[in-house]
Amino acid sequence: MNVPETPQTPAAPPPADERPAAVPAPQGWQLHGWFSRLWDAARLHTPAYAGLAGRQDAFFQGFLIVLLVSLLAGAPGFVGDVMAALQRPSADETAERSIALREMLGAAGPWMARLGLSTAAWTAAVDEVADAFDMGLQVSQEIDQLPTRLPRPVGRILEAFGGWLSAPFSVARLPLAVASLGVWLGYGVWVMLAARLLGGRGSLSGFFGATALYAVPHALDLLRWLPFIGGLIGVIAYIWGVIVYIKATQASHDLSFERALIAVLAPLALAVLIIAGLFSMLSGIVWLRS
Amino acid sequence: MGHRTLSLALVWRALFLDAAAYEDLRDDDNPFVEGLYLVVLLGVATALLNLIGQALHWASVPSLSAIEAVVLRNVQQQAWWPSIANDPAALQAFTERWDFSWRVIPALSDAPGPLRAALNIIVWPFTGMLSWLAYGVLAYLFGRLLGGRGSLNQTLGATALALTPWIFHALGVIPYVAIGGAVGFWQLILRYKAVRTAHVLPWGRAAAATALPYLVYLLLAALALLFSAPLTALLVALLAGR
Repeated sequence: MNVPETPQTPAAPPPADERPAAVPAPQGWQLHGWFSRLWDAARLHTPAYAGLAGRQDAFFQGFLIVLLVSLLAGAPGFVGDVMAALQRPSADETAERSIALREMLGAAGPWMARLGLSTAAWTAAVDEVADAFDMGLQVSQEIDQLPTRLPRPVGRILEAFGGWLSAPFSVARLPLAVASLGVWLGYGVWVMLAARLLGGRGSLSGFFGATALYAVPHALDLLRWLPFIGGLIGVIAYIWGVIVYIKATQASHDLSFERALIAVLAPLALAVLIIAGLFSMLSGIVWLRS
Repeated sequence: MGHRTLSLALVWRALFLDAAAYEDLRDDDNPFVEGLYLVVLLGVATALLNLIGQALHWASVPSLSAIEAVVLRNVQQQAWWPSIANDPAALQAFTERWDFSWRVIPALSDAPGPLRAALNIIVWPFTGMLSWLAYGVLAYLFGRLLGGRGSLNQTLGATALALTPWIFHALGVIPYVAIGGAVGFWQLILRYKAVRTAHVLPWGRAAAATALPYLVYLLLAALALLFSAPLTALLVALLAGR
């Protein structure tokens, strides 16, 4: 290897605030202990958060938690996609979709009349949209029957598998709405910054390790496919996850609950303010020009 | 010839925020060379694995020409088609637009193509190097401006480790896997760790030195947009024969 072109900086100890929190790392986190700690965290037991934040491998633990919950929550969707992949939609199902669209658009007729659109104009618009939809369905069916180099079912299963594995890397429109690495890291960066500005003392690794616990309640997303109560379960998982996240921020940064709450909400509030500001500015420009 | 600091274990430790990994590379006898090895290896290895995934994806979908034929046949069955077919000028305009669209669609839709994926074996290491060097130099300048003590060599070595989340692109060996925004945020976090370790800065200054290069990118993008708009207008005017 070449001689260095610049003198080397002597090895320095890590900065004090980068060291893990003073809480001793619990010994021997076997699998059953691991799950029981996750359960403790879901029940908001403070030692579970401090224990995770204090581990040397806190970030890796956090990664594992988010990854596993994300894959678990996506499992029913994956199974459903595989089942759908193995069955081609029948001609009857296609016709049903077309009829359903026409009925849905037709039902909007009275609303359109109230907006001043004549019945004839709306009927023409519905026909145009429905015809385009029918053509799309027809094209999709024909493409589905084209030959491929790999057998069709294999390709479809690969597609479902790929989609399932992609979910942990996705981001969400609403912060903390799903268990995914994109959400965990993307929102966490800003919360970490806010917590530090509010006097937090936690390490980067400890903070991300502890906040990954927000994913635990999202294991309930496994049941989101259930009719009627699926949506409600999703809302419960979201609120529960946010509470866990605030608790984790509090524990990993040694903050008061109020400060932790501000740190968690501040990035969202700032984003809303910026969007509202930009919107007002654009509206102002449009108004001035008109 | 010095010893080789770079190893799979070091990459793993760096990926999961182990500060000692960044210190090890910072204190290497030539961190730049170690970083270069890492960036090139990551680029080539992930591109090779993606080639397999892209080939499987390509094999699981019909050929684009067959899809084009299906769409065209359906378009020609629409009620409005005779009005175009019976007007030579309209038919010629339609044919030109149609051909142009189907030349552009493969590039825009990220349609699977083993040839393009094979090209990535060269492209990815180069784009990786460009991203690494541009960020490394800027982070070094801002780090120094903010009171950091690290050399350029050390900054480049440490920031190369911040590219380790690219390893997830290796999942591209499975077709249809899309690695979303997580990698970018992960990289940002590791860049903070790298800058902080290379320059031994307090957290606030390290955060500023990490974020400021992104601000430079934004400014450059805004400038490019500003200058590209008149150029585009000129090009369009020239093409329109004005």
